[in-house]
Amino acid sequence: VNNRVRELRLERGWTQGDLADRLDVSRQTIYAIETGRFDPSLPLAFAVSRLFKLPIEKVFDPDA
Amino acid sequence: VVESEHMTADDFRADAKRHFRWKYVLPSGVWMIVLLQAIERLQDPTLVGTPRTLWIVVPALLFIPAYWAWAAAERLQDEMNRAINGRAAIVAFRFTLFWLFALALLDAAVGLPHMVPGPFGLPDETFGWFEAGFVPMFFWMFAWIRERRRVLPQP
Repeated sequence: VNNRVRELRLERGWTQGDLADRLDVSRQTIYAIETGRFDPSLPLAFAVSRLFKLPIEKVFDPDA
Repeated sequence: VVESEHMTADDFRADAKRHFRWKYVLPSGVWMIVLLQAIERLQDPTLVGTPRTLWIVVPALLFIPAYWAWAAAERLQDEMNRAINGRAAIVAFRFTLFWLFALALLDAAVGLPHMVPGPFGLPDETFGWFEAGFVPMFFWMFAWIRERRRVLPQP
């Protein structure tokens, strides 16, 4: 699953650590999601999309 | 801005802040210290009767809070780390089976000391390395049934 997490995070000027703190996960998890090495669970994906105030399909691309 | 895939000192500090709880570390530490002490003491042939039994039973009982602490600490991990731990456990489980059955083959070929000989009243041939290989499989089977029932409640 491709995602725009890195792009959306940088738009807000957040570090990976900032985003990790906001989602209560480790920075390594953010790194792994951004690089596409780890697909988040649905609850975490929804938490990410809520944080960016976007529908989930605007953050994660299920067709990739 | 930290963008590295490697764990930095800040990452370790953040993880420790998120996960470290004395109530989870302490039971494992106590269990390990008592276990090491028990192994030391039980080698003394003059230790007999109730004290000997206690040095066998107490570490076994202390495993219960240690197990609880491991499970609780696992729940504190985030989902990526839980996934990594899970995959690592799967690989380790397969290698454990390979190791035990390799010992069973070696046992058949050249003879090896068995894990559970005389003291429990089992003759040597009753519980060898081949049978030991089935123990983790039974553990897996019980865990599988428990997890499946949790996900798919029985009618």
